[in-house]
Amino acid sequence: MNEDRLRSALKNSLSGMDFPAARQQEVWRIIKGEKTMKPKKLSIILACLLIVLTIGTALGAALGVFGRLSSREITGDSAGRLALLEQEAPKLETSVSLYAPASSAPPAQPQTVYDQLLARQYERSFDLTVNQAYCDGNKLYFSYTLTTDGRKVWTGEGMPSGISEWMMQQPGRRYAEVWSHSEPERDKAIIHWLDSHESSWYAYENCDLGDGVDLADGRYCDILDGTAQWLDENTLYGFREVQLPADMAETDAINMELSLMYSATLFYQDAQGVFCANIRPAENRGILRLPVSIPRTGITQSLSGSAIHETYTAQADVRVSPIDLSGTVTLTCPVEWTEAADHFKGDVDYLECYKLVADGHVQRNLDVSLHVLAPGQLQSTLRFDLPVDTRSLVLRPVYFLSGEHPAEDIPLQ
Amino acid sequence: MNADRENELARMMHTYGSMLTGLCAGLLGDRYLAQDIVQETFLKAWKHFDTLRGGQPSEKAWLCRIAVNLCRDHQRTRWFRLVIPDETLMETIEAPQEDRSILEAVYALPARLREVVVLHYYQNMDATEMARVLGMTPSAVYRRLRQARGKLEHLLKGADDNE
Repeated sequence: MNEDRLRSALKNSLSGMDFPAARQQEVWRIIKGEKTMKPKKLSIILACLLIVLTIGTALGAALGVFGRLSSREITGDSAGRLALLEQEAPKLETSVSLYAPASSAPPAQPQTVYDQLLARQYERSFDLTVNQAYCDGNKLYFSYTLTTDGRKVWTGEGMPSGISEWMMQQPGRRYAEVWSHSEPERDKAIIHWLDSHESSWYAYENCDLGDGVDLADGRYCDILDGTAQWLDENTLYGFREVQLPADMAETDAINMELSLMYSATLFYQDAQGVFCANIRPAENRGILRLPVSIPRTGITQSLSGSAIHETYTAQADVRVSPIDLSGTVTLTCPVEWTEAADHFKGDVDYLECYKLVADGHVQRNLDVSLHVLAPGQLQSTLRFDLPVDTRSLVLRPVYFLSGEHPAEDIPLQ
Repeated sequence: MNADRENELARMMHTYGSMLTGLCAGLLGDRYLAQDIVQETFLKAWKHFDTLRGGQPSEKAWLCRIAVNLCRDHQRTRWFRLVIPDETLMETIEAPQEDRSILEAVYALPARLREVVVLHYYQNMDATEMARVLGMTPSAVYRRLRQARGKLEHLLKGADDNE
C-alpha cells in the first residue's frame, strides 16, 4: 500500500470541506435560545426523560439472557463465555423506564407520512432491564432486555409524502439486492410488500443500545463483543462486553452512561431504485442516555511468565477471571520481525501469536492481534476462554511460517 | 466572563470548523451529516468548557474526541449497519477520479479502523494524539492501525486486480 497516495487522496477530498457561516450562526442561535429557555429545558428533561429506577420483577429470574445467547449458532466463539456468565454474573434485574422527549415545537396535525412517523417518535417509551452484570475491573459484561411500546409498521403505495432527504439512495436496484436486515422476518416482509407494488414504501420502528459505554468520568469504553436478538416484535435482548481502562479506580461500582437509540426507518422502492430514510427527532437525534451503576462483583488473578531465547525475550502478563483469560506478551525481538509485522511481509518467519496449553489441551487464541510498539518490540494479545483446568497454564508461540514452537513455551505462574 | 467564553467559541469555530468537518466527513462519508455533527460538537464544547479549562492537554484533541464520539453515536445504531452500498457513500464528497478507489477502500473499512486511518493519514496525528482522541492506549492504536493497513492493502489489491 502506498501510504503517500492514501494521505494525498484523503487530503484532496477532505481538506476543502468548510463549516459554513450559516452553521456557525445556527450554533449561536441555539446557544442564545438555550440561555433564555433554561428553566423550561430543565422541566422538559424532568418531565419527559423520566427515568424511574426500580428493582424490576418484569422478567424474573428464569430469563437467563446470557444463557439464551450461549449457542454457537447465535454467538459463535462467544458462546462459551456467555455460558459461564450465565452462572457467574450476579442477577441485577434492574429496570429503567424511558420516555422519548416531547417535541420542542409540537407540530400541528400530521400532514405527511414524514410528519406521522416523526410524531410517533415523540411518543415512544421503553423499558430497559439490565438482567445480569459482571464486572471485575478489567472487563464489564452485562445482559439486557429492551421492550418497547409496540413497534409500529406503516406501509403505503406511491412516493411517501414529506421525505425531503434520503439517507441512502440506490438507483436501479431492488431492496433485496442491496439490503440485508438483522431481522430475517423483517427482510421477508419488506421484500414481499415492496415487490408486490410498482411504487411503494415500508416503514418500521427500531431501537437498541449503543455499543460501548461512557464512564462517568467522560472516558469512552470500547465494545469488545456484543449481539442482540428480537425475542418477539417488541422485546429485544442482548449482551455487551466492554474493556475498561487499565487505570480504572478501585471503586465499589462502575458508574456509566448507556445510549439507547431509536428511530423509524423507511424504504421506498419504484422503477428508479430503492431509497432509505431514517426518521428521528432533531432534539436528541434519537438517542436517550441513561446513567447506570454496575457493582463490581468479581476479581481477577494476575499471572506472569517470561522466556529468554537467543533471538528474542518475552514477558507475559495475564489476568484470569472466572470468565476468561486475557492479557499480553511483550517481545523484544529482531527489527526484522517488527518490519515484517508492520508491512505484512510474507517471507519472514516471525512470532505471530500464542496459543494456550491448559493441562495438555491446546486452546485457540480468540484475538490474534500483534502490534508493533517500537522497532524491535512487539506485543501479542491473548484472549482465551477459561480452561476447564487452570492448574497448568502454558503459552505456546506460533510462528508465521513454521507454526507452533513447543520448545519456546512460557509457563504461567 | 461570558463574552470571553463566546470569543473562545468563535475562535474555535474559525480555527477548527473546517478541520472537524473534514474529519467527520472522513468518518461518515457524508459532507452534510458531517456539518450536523460538527455543529453538535461545538454545542457540546460550549456546555463543557470547564472540562477544557480543567487541564485538557490539547483543545484540538478535545474537540476531535467530542466529534469522534458523536460520529460513533451516529454509527452505533443497528439499523445504520445494514449493508450500505459502497457507491452511496461519498456522494457528497468531491474527489478526483484517481483517488476514488483509495477512498472507496477507506469507506469499506469497519468504522473503528476508518477512525485511525482518517486521524493518522488526514489529520497527521501520531499514536499518542490518536490515543487521546479515541480514548485508547497508544499500543491499542498501533494495533488498530496495523489492522487497518492490512485491510486496506487487501481491498486495494482487489481493486487493482479488477481493473
